[in-house]
Amino acid sequence: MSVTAVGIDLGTTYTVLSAINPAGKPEIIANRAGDRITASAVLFQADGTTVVGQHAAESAELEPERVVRWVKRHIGDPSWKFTLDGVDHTAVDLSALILASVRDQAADVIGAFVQAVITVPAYFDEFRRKATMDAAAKAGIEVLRIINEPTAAALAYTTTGTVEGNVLVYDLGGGTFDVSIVRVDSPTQMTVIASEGDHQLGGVDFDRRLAIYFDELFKAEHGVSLLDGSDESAMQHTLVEAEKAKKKLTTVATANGVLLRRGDAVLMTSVDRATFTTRTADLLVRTEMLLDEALDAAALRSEEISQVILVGGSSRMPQVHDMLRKKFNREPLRHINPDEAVALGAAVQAGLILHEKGSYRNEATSATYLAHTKVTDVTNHSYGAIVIETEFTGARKRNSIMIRKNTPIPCSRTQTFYTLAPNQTIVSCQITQGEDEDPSFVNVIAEGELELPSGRPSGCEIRVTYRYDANGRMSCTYLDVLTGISKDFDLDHSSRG
Amino acid sequence: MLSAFLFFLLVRFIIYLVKDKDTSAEKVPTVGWRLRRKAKKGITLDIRTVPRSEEQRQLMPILRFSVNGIIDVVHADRAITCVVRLYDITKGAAHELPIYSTHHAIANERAEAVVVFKAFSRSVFCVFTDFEIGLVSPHFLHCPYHGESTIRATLTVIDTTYPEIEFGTCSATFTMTETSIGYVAIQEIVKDRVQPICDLVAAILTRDEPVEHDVVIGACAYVADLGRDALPWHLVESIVQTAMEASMRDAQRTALPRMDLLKQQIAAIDVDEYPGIGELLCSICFYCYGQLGGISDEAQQVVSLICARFDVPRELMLELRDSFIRTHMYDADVNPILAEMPEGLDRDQQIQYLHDEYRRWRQRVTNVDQDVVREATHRLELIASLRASLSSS
Repeated sequence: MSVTAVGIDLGTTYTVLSAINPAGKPEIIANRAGDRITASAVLFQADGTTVVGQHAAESAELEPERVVRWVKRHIGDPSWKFTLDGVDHTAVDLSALILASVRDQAADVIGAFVQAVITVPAYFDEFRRKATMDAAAKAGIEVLRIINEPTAAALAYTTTGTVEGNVLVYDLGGGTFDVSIVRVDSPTQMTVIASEGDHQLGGVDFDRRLAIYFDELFKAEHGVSLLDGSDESAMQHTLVEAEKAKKKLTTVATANGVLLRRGDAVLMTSVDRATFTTRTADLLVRTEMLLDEALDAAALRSEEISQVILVGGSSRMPQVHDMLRKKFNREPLRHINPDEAVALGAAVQAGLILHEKGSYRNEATSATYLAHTKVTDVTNHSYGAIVIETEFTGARKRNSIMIRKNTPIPCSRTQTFYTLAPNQTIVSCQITQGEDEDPSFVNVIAEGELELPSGRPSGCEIRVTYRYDANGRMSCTYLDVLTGISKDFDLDHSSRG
Repeated sequence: MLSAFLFFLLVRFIIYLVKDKDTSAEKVPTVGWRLRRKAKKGITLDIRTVPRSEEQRQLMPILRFSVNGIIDVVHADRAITCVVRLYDITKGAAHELPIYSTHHAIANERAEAVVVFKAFSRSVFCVFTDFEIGLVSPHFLHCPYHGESTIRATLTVIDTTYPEIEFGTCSATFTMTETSIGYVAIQEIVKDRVQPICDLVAAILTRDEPVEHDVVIGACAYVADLGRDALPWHLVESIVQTAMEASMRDAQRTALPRMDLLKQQIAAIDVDEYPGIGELLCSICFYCYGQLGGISDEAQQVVSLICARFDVPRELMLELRDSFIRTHMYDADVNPILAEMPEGLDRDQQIQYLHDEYRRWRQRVTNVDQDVVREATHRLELIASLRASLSSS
């Protein structure tokens, strides 16, 4: 029995679902309202039901306390929760509601499905990836694979045969920013070289800068603030107006008719593109610095980039185009809708996985690429082990990096460490994620203990192996060479199915 | 061919004799030992203690070893690592005291500079020359050593690229006495020797304006804590005590301008005597400056002086800075990024500096510690603002 290949782009502001159609091509599945993208907003109605989508987003102004948006920014943060009527909702709970909603709506068009590829920002760490998987599981979706958003977008472009060479993917979404550099050798051969990102930088930050500008104007006129938190409705309205103005400024030089209000106080104003650009210059610089990082990591110069792909709704901003045009001396590509490229690529990835498993058949001639396409991704963070390093000045803890960031996957690395003290019976195993050698600046993502026999001198060999397979499965083994005793760790942010 | 080989042997023998004579002339009492062995797989090792002066040994008990090894590296592009382990075998297994146990991983930058090398062609003969590979552990410093002990030393050379290959292992025993590592005399001379450091710590703590008592106490407590691993405990105690007394006195203790005084004091410290002193002093500086309102121009100069004088790597200095300095410690009208930026950089260098800072702090925005995340996020915003203003200027 053949199943549907589905990809879901679970975004900060919008969620998009795509599936491989009978002709073998990925296509966006519109929701019940006919929209190709669904707002990642949840409205908790007074009757206890929930609504996901544009209606929920628009309700933020009237019922701000009942609406939650930009949940993705908090996913993986156990301390964050949305509380309503005495009930706590975690980011995983809320993301699950969004995923379940888009799945149910898509089922009307493509039929019920259980499996899907879900995308995450490339710079998401293990906690956030795991939380995304938990959300999917809670929504009843079996995750075929978690893949990086820029990788998915690049895959969508690659399979169209419109890009080749060193391709830079500039993905500025609603709440996150990613940049990846991929080498496209052919429409069926794509290798990610380097990936960077910032999961606290996205379109909403640009909106907030405009909102602050509007607030300054409003305060000058009426002496009260729109954003001081005392009037939630005014704040939400200002943010909505800011987002509208931002979108207008992509096509016109001045966004007129910006209506600001708080209670009876009203101000009709406008904002021009130059002001917007100046007010957000540092945000754009942050993306530019990450471009430099990615180029450094890929050991490429800007002139060696053959094409630049724009992904994410916020990449439509003119200042983004200007910066990229100036930096790479070429016009960025956007012939796939920036809002949809990630979801389309995710569906292609789902097709590749299902085809490989033999559970997907598509006889269309245009689907033959599914049998031949090869995608190689990289690790997006460094993985290490906390060790005691004895030096001339004493002993100190260090994060010894085992697998470096941007290493092509699958990969494996073995390093030998030594017990520190005589009669040492326990080796503390701490697996870290992060680039810093200072343990206080990295995350311990798994830990345990390797028990050793007593009565041995110090300096016994402990062989540590880290592996990262193509499915995103990370595993580690701590092996006591002398006795063969070992301790295994599995850090799985992909499906085991 | 044969005559050349015989001549080579003769030269080696003469060097051997000369070296022996030199060693005995240094009068290293009982710590001296030597071992020469032709190991398997093409390794020749010649291990000995490096003589140190009586005064040196008394102040900071260190065993220095040199290794002269010739390794026939059969395969290209291999990293070699030396491992030295010393055990106190006199006290028996139950009381075995690890004098020194370490390995130099390839990731260890300090060790990499010393013991790890790469051979880039086939059949290259690589020679280790004098380098320090062994120190007496701080365990000794915390539990003063008494009597005489027999120490077993093992040196292993490992092919780090292919860890399963062990080039060779050498071992030997030697006797170590209380006198030889200097505990008998250390109490008597410590006060004189640590005076320069006491003065410097006092000078760092003492500013033109009165320093709050809590800051001094905090700094001293920190010195004590950090010094535990870096310096003999007696020395740390002495520093703390003297620094506290000095900092409580009038700031204008001499007619010299403050920076000149600091320069003099930094110059007065004997680098070789205090391993780790640069790191210790940098930490003290950052602790104090953090408490006193962030990094000032003067603070930059002091840290630069200390780093230059004591060869503190820039990465280590930045790591220490990041551990102690937070943006909220600065006055509201001070941009922390600008304050910490070295003076005299041109525009391109400033951009590069910001780029480097951005790279370091960006790694921390995913930290589980929300304080670290907040600090990193704030710094990234400040860096981006500065970079944007530089770009538009």
